Amino acid sequence: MAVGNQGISVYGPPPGAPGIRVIQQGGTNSLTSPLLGRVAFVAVLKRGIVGVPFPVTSRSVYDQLCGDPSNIIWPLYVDGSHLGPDAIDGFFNMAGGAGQLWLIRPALDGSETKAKVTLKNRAGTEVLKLEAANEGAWGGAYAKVEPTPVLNATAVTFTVDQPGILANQYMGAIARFSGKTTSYTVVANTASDPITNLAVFTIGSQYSLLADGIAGPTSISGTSSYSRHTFVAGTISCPMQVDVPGTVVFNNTDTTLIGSGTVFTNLSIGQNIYHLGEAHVVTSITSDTTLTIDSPFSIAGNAVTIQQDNLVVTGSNTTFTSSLKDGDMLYYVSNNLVYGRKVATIASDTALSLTSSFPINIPSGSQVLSDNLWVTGDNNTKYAQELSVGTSVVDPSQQNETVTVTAIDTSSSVKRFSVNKPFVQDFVNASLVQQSLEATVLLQPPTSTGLSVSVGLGQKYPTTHFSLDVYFNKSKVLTVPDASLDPNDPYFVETAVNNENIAYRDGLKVYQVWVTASSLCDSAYTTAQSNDVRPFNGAGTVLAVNARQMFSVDDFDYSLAIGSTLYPNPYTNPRSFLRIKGAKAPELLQGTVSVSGVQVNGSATNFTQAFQPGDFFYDPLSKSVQKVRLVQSDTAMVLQAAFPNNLPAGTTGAKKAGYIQVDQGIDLTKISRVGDNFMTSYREYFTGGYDGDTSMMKPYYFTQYLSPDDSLLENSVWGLNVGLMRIACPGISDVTVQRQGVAYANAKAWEYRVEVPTSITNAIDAVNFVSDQLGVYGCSVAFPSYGLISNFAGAGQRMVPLTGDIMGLESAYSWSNGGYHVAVAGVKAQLVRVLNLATKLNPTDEASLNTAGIQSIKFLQGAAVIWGARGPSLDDTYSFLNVSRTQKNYIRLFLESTALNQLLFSPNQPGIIDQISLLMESFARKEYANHVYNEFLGFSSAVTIKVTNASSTGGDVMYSYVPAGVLEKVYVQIGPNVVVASSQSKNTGV
Amino acid sequence: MAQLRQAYLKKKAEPLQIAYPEGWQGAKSGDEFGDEIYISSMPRMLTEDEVSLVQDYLKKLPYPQELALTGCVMVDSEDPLLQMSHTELTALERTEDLPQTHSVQGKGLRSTFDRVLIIREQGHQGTGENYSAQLPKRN
Repeated sequence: MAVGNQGISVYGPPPGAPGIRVIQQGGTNSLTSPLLGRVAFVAVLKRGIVGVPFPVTSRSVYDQLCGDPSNIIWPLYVDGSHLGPDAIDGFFNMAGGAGQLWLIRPALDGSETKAKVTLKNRAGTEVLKLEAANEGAWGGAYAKVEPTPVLNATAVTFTVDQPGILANQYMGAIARFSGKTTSYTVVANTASDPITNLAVFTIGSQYSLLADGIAGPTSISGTSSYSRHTFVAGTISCPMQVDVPGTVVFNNTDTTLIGSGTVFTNLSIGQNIYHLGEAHVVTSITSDTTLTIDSPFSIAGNAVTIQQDNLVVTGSNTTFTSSLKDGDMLYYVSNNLVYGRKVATIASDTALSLTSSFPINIPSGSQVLSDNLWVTGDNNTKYAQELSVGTSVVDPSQQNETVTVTAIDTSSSVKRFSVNKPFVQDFVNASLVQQSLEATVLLQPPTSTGLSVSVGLGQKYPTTHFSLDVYFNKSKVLTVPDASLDPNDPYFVETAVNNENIAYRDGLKVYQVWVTASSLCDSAYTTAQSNDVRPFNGAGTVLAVNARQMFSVDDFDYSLAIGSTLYPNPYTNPRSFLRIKGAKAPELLQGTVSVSGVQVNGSATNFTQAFQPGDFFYDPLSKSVQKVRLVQSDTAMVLQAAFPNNLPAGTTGAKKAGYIQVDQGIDLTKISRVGDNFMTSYREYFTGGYDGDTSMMKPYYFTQYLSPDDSLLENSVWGLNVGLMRIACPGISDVTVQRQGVAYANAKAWEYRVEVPTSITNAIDAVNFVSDQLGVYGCSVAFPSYGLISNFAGAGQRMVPLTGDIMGLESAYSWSNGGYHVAVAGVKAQLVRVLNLATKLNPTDEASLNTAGIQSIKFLQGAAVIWGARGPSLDDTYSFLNVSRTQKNYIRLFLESTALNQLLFSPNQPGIIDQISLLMESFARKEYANHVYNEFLGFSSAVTIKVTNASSTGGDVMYSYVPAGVLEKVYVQIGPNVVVASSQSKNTGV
Repeated sequence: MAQLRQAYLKKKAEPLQIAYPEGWQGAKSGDEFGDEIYISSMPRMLTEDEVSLVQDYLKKLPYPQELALTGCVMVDSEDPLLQMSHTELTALERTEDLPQTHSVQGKGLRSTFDRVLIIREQGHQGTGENYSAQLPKRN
């Protein structure tokens, strides 16, 4: 018999010659019953692959992919804002290990982000990115709004101009305002407006920003005037150039100048010198009488006088010491051009030096200007009441610039105040605006929450590889003992990480469980001490060391290092490590410093707050530290020893060194020296994860996965022999989603479980909701659809959809009945965790619900039970869920059957009809034997299989059967002499 | 844009999906063609019409539930109060027995926008016509 399902092998000589032909032909009984009990949920989850259906075969797998393996209640939303996870709990609780669950975590508004961390190497270059496997705050929600001015403030809200803020991203964050000690808990925030960038934060109603004096920008009463410059008292003279003392000899072919009576060491390399108007740059100074310039003068000089830039201003009737200070600007106006130069030092009331010379001669008797820092007001101003030192005032000429009030003059008859720096330009009778406070918002998740990673040395290859330990909340979830940034290395980090935590494969796309690694290293992979490119949590260089402390100024999170591992010498002793018992981060000093010998002087510094004797002062030029011996004031302190070179005034970047401290009994000086490179390994947290705006859910977020045209779920399970899928969106009881869900299920011969909203509290309304609003059939629905269970988060009860519990029980029943769907109803169909129901049904309600195909949920013998086995249907036969499920299961089975599909392209072959008939009959006999069909009838009466002739235009297979186990009516007659009971089964099937 | 109020479900029970009644003419906070309001214990913005709709819906629930307002208000860009002068706003506050918001203690004068935000946050729903009519118009 020729069949489509066969393989032919020929052994022997070429065609035409005798040989052996072997025909391998499949058996006829090749229609395999699907594994029943598959359920699919579209549900908002905290964790899990987004937008892709994926299977979870058990509760433990669910906790791995969507939860916290060490905390079974972690997936639930404490605030009840989403109930999908509650239904999943119910499913696993009732299924008892039976069945398989497919989950779709819907993509929302596109604002969802994955948490990530980028690890740097010793040189500070980013070399490895680790990203949470999927979107959400689960990976790490840390976020911060850096200090930014408050634009509006009401009692419980404030507005800032800050792009990138996401809706409700900062729920639970702490807001603080500059100059205020109170902190405020944020209860909500809007997303940044895409055009204006404005975001509104709402704080708890127990606060009042109005009462606390927090406001947006405020107008200062009255009007104010300001002149950009003010005259310096007296007059000055300042020639552009002055003679260099002594005389000089040079020729026009050489760059060397020989002096006589000169003190060239008073000059400086890089400055200009002049002769006959020709300028050259000093390139070296050998002695007081020898220097070189960049190129020869064009005209030789013999005992001539040369000039240099004049930096000295001479005053007449001036009061430089009181009216100016170092760093102030002097301005000279000539031909409507303003020339400005900075004051270097003030020698006396009549002499000062500049940092650079004026470009023109300023003749004797000239008046010069300086910056005006005083604003005057009219009589309506209330500077004394409305301003205070430190207040920021918006520059009326440049709205994004502010100046700070430094003094308010209340002694003068003229109302005025001074500022720290000049306004951009003059203004007259302007209404000034006082800048508001600055707000800082910090979302700091509790300790040990989210993803974190610690990086250590490779366990097997510590000198050439590194290790990664990934933690989620309090559990270590992934260990990579050896990894490399070399793509050719068998331990390449992307392979080592990404292949070690696979959640699901969808074609070529692979989804991870926890993290996805990306190497950012684009240089050669080297691991020697001098050029180590491996990532670290913290790495640095020892600047000073004592028995228990190791001082450094490197850039890592010292606070996180406490309690973690210190490798004092990873390059010489890679397997030697200590536990860090204490740490303090380095501090960048405010202001500027100068160092002369052991004396440190500061400008705008806070030495008394920053230092104590014994601390280490870091010199940014020599990159070394010296111990502080004495702190004299905020601007002066003394070191124990001098640095190799003094630091000039104005030096920035000086620091107080940080340190790492180890336990008592350890002498770090014996294992570490200044200049050694060390590393620390600690849990570095992922940041920036966001769930999307889950407060503004749209039906589309669910219906996008319920489209018959773009059937992601069907594509994912096609060919997996899952048969009937029972689908639901637990906790979603709206009409739009559910109508689409039922239509989708009907289009695919699946079943959608509908929920009746809790606002419907009687049977008639429930019937109307299903029949009128949904207007559907072929689904399943229970009423009430919601119940109360014990609250995992505290006292009281928690409202949950019963969808998960019911579907789990259905899976359990199916599993215990050899995979066949049976009626899940009756006194034993208990929803064990349900303590109460959203609506209590009366016995009369059950009649209405039953005829409408709505399963009643009621309390019986102390437990909530399913008291109904029907679903909404146009045909009575299929109103029984077990019948309709068997029917749909057959559709899916035949649709995806490999055996039938193999015959698809074999029409008109001899015996094709026989083949199909045998295939179907074999399947039917097995089903009959399994009591799927009415066993009171013989097989030939219970099942009819008829195959019409397959031709080029196609053929038909009619498969009809009489389903079993359907009890339609029960008659009980009770009289004085007789008790008669009878039942009637439906006896038609297609 | 209609005035919006930030609201959430006070009891941590279940998220609600509340369909707009057929032919509903009220202002919507989201898509003009949206067909329902999703409201949960996470705060979101609702129009005044939607606040009323949700409050009516909550009465149908078989368990106690409340719509809580955080106090946050986003005013309509065409809010008539935004056209009022400081003097008119002061008159409104005085007559309606609302806190005076003209100045911030020790910091000068609030902007009219800030004042309108605060007045609306206090729950005042008037159009301000009475106060602007009583006073000379601004130039």
